[in-house]
Amino acid sequence: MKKFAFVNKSRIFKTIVENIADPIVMAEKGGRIHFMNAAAIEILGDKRGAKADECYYSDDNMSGHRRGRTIIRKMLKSPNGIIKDMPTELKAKDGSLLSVNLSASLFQDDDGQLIGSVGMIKDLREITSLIDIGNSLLATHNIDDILKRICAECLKLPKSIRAYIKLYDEVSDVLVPAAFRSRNPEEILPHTPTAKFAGMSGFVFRTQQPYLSHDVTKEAAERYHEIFPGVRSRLVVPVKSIDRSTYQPKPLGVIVVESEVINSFRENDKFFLSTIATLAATAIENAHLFESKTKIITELTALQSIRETISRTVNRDEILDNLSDTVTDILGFDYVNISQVDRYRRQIKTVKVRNMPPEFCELAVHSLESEDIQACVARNREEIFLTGWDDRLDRDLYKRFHHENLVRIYMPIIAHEEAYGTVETGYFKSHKTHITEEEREILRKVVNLAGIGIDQAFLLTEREMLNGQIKALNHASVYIQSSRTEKEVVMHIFQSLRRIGYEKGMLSLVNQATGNIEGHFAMGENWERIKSETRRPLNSDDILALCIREKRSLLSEDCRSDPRCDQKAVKKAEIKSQYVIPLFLHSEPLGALQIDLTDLQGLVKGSQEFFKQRMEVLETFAHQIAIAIRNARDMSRIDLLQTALIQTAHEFKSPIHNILTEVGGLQRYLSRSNLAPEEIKQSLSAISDEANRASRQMQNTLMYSDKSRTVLGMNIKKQKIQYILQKSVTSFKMRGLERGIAIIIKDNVKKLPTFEFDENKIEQVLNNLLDNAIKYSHNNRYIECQGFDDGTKIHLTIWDKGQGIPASEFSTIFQGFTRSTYKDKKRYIPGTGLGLKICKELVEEHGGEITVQSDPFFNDPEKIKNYDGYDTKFTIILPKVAKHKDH
Amino acid sequence: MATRILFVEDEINAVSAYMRELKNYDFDCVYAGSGDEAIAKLESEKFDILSIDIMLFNKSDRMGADIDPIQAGLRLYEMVRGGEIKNCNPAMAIVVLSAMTEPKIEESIRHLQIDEFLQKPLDFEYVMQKFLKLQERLMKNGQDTHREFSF
Repeated sequence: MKKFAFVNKSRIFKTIVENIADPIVMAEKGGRIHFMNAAAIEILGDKRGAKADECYYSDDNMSGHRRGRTIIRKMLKSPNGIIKDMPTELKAKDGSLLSVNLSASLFQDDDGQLIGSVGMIKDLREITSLIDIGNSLLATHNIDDILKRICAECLKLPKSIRAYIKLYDEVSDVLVPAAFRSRNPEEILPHTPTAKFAGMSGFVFRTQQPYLSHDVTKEAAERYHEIFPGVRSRLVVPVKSIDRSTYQPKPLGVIVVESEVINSFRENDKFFLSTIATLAATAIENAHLFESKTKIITELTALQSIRETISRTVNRDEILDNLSDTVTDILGFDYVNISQVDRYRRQIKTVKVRNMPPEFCELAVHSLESEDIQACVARNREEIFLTGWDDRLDRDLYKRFHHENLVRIYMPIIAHEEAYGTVETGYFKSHKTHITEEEREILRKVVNLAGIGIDQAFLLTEREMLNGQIKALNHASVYIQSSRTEKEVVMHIFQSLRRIGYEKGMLSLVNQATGNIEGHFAMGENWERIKSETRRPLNSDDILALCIREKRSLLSEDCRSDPRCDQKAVKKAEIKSQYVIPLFLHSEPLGALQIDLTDLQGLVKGSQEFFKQRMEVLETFAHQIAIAIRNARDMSRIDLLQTALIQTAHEFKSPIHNILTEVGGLQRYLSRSNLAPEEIKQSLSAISDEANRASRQMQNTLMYSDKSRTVLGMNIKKQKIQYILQKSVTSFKMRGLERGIAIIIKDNVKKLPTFEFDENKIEQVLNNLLDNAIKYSHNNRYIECQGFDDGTKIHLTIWDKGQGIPASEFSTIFQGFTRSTYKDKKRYIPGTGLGLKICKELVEEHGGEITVQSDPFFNDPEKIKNYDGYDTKFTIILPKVAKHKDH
Repeated sequence: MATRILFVEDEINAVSAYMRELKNYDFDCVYAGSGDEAIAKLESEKFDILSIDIMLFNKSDRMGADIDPIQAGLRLYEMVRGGEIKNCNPAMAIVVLSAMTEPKIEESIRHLQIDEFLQKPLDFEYVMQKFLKLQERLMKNGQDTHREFSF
């Protein structure tokens, strides 16, 4: 004991040792503790007089005694009896484990005799705290978790009762309590922000220096604002980081630790807490970074989700479904409620809900003009943020569905530059009490994108619809154009209009005789009622007359207040809206088409662009209608002419037949009685020839008329073609001889077998071919008829030597009303150009074909040299078993 | 005994040449300009051959008011074959001497129980031969040849 006397005696030494912040313990040679400074007593308890071993921690690995011995042994072994920062475990005042670094030295007297040891403890708890905090930063990015953990670490400060962190909110320029930890689990920190420079926190925030108040009661009033009663000491440190772009310190907030005992904290604790604050700053920054990264990812995911949907579908319902999924599942809102504008009924109604009772859909229906919140959002295209009651809310729904528990935001969905609907979303207050500007921003982007999708969907479906309509009308045009009568045309027009959604309307036509435009064909029962009464002078101010005079389509959106519309008719046919399209052809007014839009108010009141496009489709169609009506009128005129022609031909038939009969009778009479000179007989023969020619011509004309051709039956009989040919040749004999042309039937014709054909028709064919052969043959040649049986078909060729047919006309000569462009200068060749067309048709009716070949005389070099003419061969090829060809 | 032939034809010019020429071959030719006239002649006189033109534009009350003149001759044929005409042999020889008419009618003519279908325009000689052949046949078979007709 004596040997430590100087310690007790020297006040200076004692003061120094006493005031050192780190715990210091001295022990005698025997191991008994002689001295502890305040810091040592604070953590280890007063162990003066006790064995030093008692200060060491005992556990399963090692007893406290052994730990003490180990330290002494190490000291003794060291050259100068000193150990530095040796890690060991001590027993804290409360018996808990205390990891420390121990620095110690053997203590000798002046004689060099060992009298004891002195040790200084470095409390590792602070370091372990910091390591813990560091680890926690790695473990989580949840800022709330990190801040809570920091508070918990702060409470490791002796005598601390509570710790909390206030963070600076740049937006509202205040310090906001962010985390709180108290030894009293019941205690909570009021969530009230404080002015950034007010009170002790504000002071520290302003100075950015730690502030230790040993006794808050002695602080100036402005320096300390009581939050919790009974606080005596308080330590406040700033939390700051470095701005990465300016390298200026960036204040983030403060950490506050309180105690209910005066002088609880030491200067040393400032450093500990400041270190924690630095870590906190890093953690907060990291968390912010992570949060913004997460936000960006969330935003991208949300936008991607919507984008994916709108690129995949034009189904507006599906887009809305995806929107509500995105808002809840990706953006993390608690609920969503999507309403849609019904433009036709002028209503807005909830169509989709998530995490809301589904019956909400049926209940939330309001007029678009009302003061309902959704109507306001849609009408004014504004965002509304609500945390509680608002006069624009529906009180019944508010109460029934406990909307007071919601914090929510309303946003319009804009599509097609109009409000398509609204999105209402938010949180249940039990989960979150605020919607940040960032959250709103993302929501806005998502809703806007959905709007674009819906817009696109509109355009696409509209385009599809227009395309469909154009297609339908083009298809219809084919039928309309081929209609032969006005009635048929109109029937097709109305059918087409119905197919593309126009059920009612009327076609009025200009009556040139009266100068009126008159209802002609009605579509729909209501128009039928006024059809016959519709008779408006073209110079009147009626909409029908106006559209023709102004040469443009007119829309009457509300016929009942439209002075251009005949009110009697409007009332009688119950027309609300109509579109009137004038029908013109080459600036000649034909009439007007009225399209009843009464049942299509959605179209009339909807997008003007779309309405215009749909009407344009109709107008194009109207032009085709005009053409078709004209065609039908022309057609009926042609029909009339044709009928007249046929009738005329019929009228001629009998007299010619009668002439032929009379001539026949006369010829027979004259030849029998040998009464007349040869000249009279020749004259009669000429009369007979010419009458026969007229008869053939007539036959062709009659054949050509559709009426007789299409219903002409076939009278197929098995017979010999040579007899028919013989008959024809006989009737042409005289005519041929007039020009020195002989008609020769080769033997191969006479050998042809019997086969099936229509006698009359083939005779007609042969007559036409022989007629041509004589007409186009040069004088004094012969015409040859050849036959050939190839087994299944009979070939019969009429071969003349005359002016020929250029190869370029081979295809056109069978088309009717065409005659060879090559004109014989020496003589006029009569004909209608119908003959070959009829031949071709008659042969084809038999399932056969007709071919033509025309070459310069191939067997006469002299003729070829002079290019005097052609061998022209027409060959009819008939199957032996006639096929009936369908018309 | 001369072969009695009744030409029913609304235009006498269509048959007058035949009537003149046939007289030289022991034919007794009578002309009727309308259906009514033909029926009256058939009731009052006896004929061996009836030559009918299908188109009869002259008014014929006894063949029905609404008869289509285009095929009035067919009605006359039916009346004869159907025994609707008094004192007239339903089995008498009938020749159709007509211009090409509507294909449909032409088709139905082909199915008639007739002795000749002579379609205009006709070669005079050809028609003469047909009539002479028919006369020959009638002479051979006797005037009272009855043939069965079914409708």
